[in-house]
Amino acid sequence: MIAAGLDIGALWTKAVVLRDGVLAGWSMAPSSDDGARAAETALVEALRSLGAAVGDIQAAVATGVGKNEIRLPAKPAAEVLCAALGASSMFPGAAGVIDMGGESTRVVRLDGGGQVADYAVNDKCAAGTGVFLDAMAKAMGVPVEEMGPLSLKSTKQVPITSMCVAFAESEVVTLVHSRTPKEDILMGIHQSIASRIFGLVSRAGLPGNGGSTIAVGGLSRNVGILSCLETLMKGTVVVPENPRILSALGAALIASGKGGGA
Amino acid sequence: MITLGVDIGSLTGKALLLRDNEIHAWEIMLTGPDSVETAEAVTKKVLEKSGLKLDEVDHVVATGYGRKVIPFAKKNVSEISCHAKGASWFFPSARTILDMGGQDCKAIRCDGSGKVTDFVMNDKCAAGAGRSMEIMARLVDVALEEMGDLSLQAERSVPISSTCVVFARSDALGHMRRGASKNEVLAGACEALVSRVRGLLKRVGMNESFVISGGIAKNRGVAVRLERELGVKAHICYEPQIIGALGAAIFGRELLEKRDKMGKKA
Repeated sequence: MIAAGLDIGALWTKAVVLRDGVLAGWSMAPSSDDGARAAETALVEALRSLGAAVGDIQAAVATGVGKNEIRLPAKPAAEVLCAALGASSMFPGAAGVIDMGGESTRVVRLDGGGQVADYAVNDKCAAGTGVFLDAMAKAMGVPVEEMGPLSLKSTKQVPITSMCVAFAESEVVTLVHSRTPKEDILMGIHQSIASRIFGLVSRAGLPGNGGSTIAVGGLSRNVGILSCLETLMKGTVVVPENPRILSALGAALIASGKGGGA
Repeated sequence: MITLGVDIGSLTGKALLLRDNEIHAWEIMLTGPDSVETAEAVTKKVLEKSGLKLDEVDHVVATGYGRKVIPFAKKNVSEISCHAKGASWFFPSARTILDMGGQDCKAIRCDGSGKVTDFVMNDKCAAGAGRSMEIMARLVDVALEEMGDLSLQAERSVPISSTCVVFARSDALGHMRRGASKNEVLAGACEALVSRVRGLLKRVGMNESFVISGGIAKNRGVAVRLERELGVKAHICYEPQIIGALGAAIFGRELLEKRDKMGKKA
């Protein structure tokens, strides 16, 4: 049986394909302005390694902000549920998931059996999300991939006092103009993001050191943010090999009937 | 007696010379990355305009978010006090004042002498500040000064449901892709700002004698919608961006008068 999971995020659309419940292929495509087309592109690509076509899919589940926009016959599922399932399939016994996406951050606390115990979501304000990081990268003229490693060279605390993306942008531009070292500004940016995420971690009641916490989403590739977050949590977070497909995997697991009903 | 008020905001710097109790000259310019340089440049310009020299000015008071670093200011006063003072100079009946600049928004209550009795402020989120208008104007590629009038030409407005201006920008982009016009997007942006501001005004308490100051007062799209929503007329002076600097200059004058009186007593 071929089952598919789609995660149509604000910035990226992820597709995961399972054959008989086992990960068989995955792919990603930019969501741009057409989530439906991105879903089809990603799915065709994910199916390629199986030599299968979209018509061969027997069940599909979609999640993410664009889950209701797609034209494929996929059942919608809650983001929190998909993140929880994806995490506990990769890491049985995980304590929780921190999903740091493009426009939203979700923190899910899991009970021992991989079920959702509590969660907290940031969806009103872009502070602490991928959009915030992108805006700061642009304001500083530093590629997003280089921000994390560069920030770890920081030697001085330069806090970013504005919470709002729009205000933080001008604050950062002012700091750059006043010749503040880039690595110190970057560290300030990462601390600002991490403290927003930590607020959600606290609200979801996620313990810092009681079992493994999984970090996924685009921001989990930034070592600067992870390091700040670990300091705040007084614990460690684990980033899976493919941190961005976790929710799509969860969706695919629901489609294949392994999600314990959804 | 000549006093100077300097108001360094996030987007513009303002300087105003007050001769006795009359506005002598003023100047507005865009703020650079350095508050001190902006303050010096705008002061130089206003002095040139009036033909005065800095040492002929009896007192200098600074206000605005860059007020604490201006080297030639002898005192700094919060922009809240200055806006109440300046608004009362133009409109002695003023009791509720909305001051919105690029980076924050304040709803102020004051008494008959222009003294602040209460205020609420948003400086955390751009959604309720002038910055949201800058972002939306840039999105549809119209000048900030034109957006208000253009928004009033729209027959309908697009609903902008997101609070955060970053998300609102994506909302607006989506509406445009589905065929909404520039003006309809601008109308939606003005409405969104009005609904945020209304909350602040309610919290501080609305009085019929209502004044709008700061750059936003020049946006008719916001002012007209706010009047409609609140059911009151908004008093707006001929140059609402100088009210803070005016208030600062008045504080300078009052301070000197107080000093003179004490001097005479002694």
